[in-house]
This record gives sequence, C-alpha cells and structure tokens, in this order.
Amino acid sequence: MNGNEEKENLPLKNVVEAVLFVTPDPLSLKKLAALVDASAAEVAAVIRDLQREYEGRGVELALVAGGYRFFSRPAYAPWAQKVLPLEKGPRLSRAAIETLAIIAYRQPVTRVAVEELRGVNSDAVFKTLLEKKLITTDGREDMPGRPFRYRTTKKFLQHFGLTGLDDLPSLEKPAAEG
Amino acid sequence: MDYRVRLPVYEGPLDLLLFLIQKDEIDIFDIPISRITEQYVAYLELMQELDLAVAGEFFVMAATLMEIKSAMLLPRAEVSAGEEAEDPRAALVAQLLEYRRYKGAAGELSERESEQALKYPAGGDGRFGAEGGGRESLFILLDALRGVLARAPEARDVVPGRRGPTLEEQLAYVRRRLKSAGGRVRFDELFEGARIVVVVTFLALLELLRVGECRVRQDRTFGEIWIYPTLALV
Repeated sequence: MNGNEEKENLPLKNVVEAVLFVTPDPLSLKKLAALVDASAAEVAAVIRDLQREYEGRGVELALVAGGYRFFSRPAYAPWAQKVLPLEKGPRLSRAAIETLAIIAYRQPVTRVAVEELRGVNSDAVFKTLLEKKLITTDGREDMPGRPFRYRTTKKFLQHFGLTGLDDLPSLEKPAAEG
Repeated sequence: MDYRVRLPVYEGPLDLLLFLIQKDEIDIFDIPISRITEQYVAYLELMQELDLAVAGEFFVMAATLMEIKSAMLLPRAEVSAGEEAEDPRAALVAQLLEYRRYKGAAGELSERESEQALKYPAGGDGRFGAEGGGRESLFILLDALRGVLARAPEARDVVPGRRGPTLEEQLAYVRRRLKSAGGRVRFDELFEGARIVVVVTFLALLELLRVGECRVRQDRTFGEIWIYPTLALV
C-alpha cells in the first residue's frame, strides 16, 4: 500500500477535522500547521470552511485558550450531561473566581499582594487553584523572603472559554477621587 | 451553641462593607463612618451568634473602623494651616474602590464560566465537579435573617427545659419543605418559631447551600429571596 501517496491526496480540510476531532487540548494554528504539514494560512482557511460547515449542527469548532477544539453547543448541554454525569458543570467558588481574577489581571503576582487586595487570607484558595492547575508558580519575587509569583494557566483560559488573556473582561477604570 | 459543623464564611470584611454601602446606597466617597461601624459590628455579632467560622480579618476591620471613627471626632485644628488634613477614611476608601474593580471583573468571569460550562469538548476532559456552595453572598442571607429574627418571638416562648431543635432535625425540615414546595420556597416562609429554631434552620440552610443541595436566587438586587432545590440530573 502506498501510504505516502494516499496521504498526499487526502483533503487538508478532512485531515484538520480529524486531528481536531481527537485532540485532548485546543490546538493552535501553529501546532496544527506543523502537524498537517501545511502553512498557517492554509490551515486558517480550512478552519474557516469547517466552522461554516458546522453552523446549525450540534457541535461547533471554537477558539479557546489560543487553540481550536470541537465543543457541543450550549443548547445540547442537557444531553451531554446525561452522558457525562460527573462533569456536571465546573463551578468555582466566589472566592476562587475573585482570586483568579486578581491573578489574571496582575500576573505575575505574589500571594501577599492578592491577600492585601482581597483583605483576607487566601492560603486555602491558592492551594485549590494550584491543585486544579488553574494557576502555576512563575519564579520568585525579588524581595525579602523571595515569595513565589503566580500566573494563570491555559487551563484557566479554557475553563472560562477565553481565547487568551486579552479576552478577559475589561477592568473598570480606577475611580477618580472626590 | 454546640454544632458539629462550623460553616466557613467565604467572603471577607471588604465584601461586607461593600454590601452595607450598596444596601443603603451610600456614597463611597463620603461614608458615614459611625453608622457603617454600627452595622458592621451588628453583622459580625450575628455571625458569631451563628457560630460561623469568622476570619480574624473581620475583627481587624472592626478595629480599623473604630479607629477611623475616633479619628473623625478629633478636631482637625492640629493640622497646620495650608496643609490639607488627610481624611481618616481615605485609605479604606481607596482599598474598597480597588477591591470593587476586581470584584466586578470576577462577576463577569463567573458568567463566562457558566456559558463555557454548557459546552462539552469533544472526547471529554477532566472537568472538576461543582465545588458546591460559596457562590451566593452570605451577607444577603444574613440581611434577610435579621428581618426574620426581628419578628421571631423571644426565647421566653420556649418551654423551659426543652432543648432547641438539632441541626439534623432542621436539615430534614428544610429538605422536606423544598420537596413539598415542588418549585421554590420564599426565604422568610422557611422560618417559623422562636429565635433558636430560626437560627438552627438558618444554619441548616447554609449547610445545604454548601453541599450544593439547594441554590438561592434573588429577583433583583435587594429583592425577594427564593430557595430552589438543586435539580437532580435531568
């Protein structure tokens, strides 16, 4: 069997579709291009085609955390939930989301800085966020005690359906005094 | 009071202050410090009465508020002319404003999370299960509880020697009420009887919220509060 030649003849769109169908993580244009041996522009073009073809279907091809991946559409969540009863919607606590928000906008940031802003000890919250891999350490701050600095992860972006850090909700301007 | 669970307070002193400011539509740049201090302490006392695990920072803030209050009473004449007297509230206000920015962003992120939660990725992934409660603001509930307590008969109505209800009894009671209501129960209609009964029922409600057995919704800001049983998986 002449595998190579057949590979050449397969439509790029189908190859990209298959790869995105099985990927456990969102794939960036760059990664996709390297995987399927095509240019980023070619991959971007077939992704646009695919997205158009999937309009009105039960699944969509979405850009999340800087990469593409297939998702069931929100309207079909009740059925998806029947298949995956244990994944019944990831809800973080108010404290966890607030802490994540502060880290996301100020990263890299130390725990003490976050605690000063929140006005409460955030030990337990940081532990949870680290366990869930929503944040990670990013070196140490150059100050006495050399505390860890933290930043948000790709998983954070995926969890909130953000395409990247520039997709964060805009932070209200600092209020003017007086 | 001797309960097995000591429910944690998920929010901090800044949340309580912002709650009080919003509730009374107070101008954050001109906080009536003695009124706010009074209210803050009342909530703190209520949380202690409920035996909630109140973080130490709440007491630090109470002390800060009282310090500001006394500083406001001091004559400002000591400051030499020409120099502008620093408002004793300035640091606290700055902290509240800064915190409020991030709290607002967190609210928007929370909505994004809910939207994304409805999209299931191909092949599934290691989503973490619901963390349960801690999402509803405790202070909204405490505010409503204060209203109920104000109407509750005093302890003398309780037959001497008869103990108050246990948490288990009230857990069963709240579950029963949610079940028989079919849809939802209005917060104040959940409570009847003497103060001790109200308090234990409230703790039972907090526990059910914590484990995710029910949810709380408010029609609008400072509107009616409803308790919904969490729907069994469809």
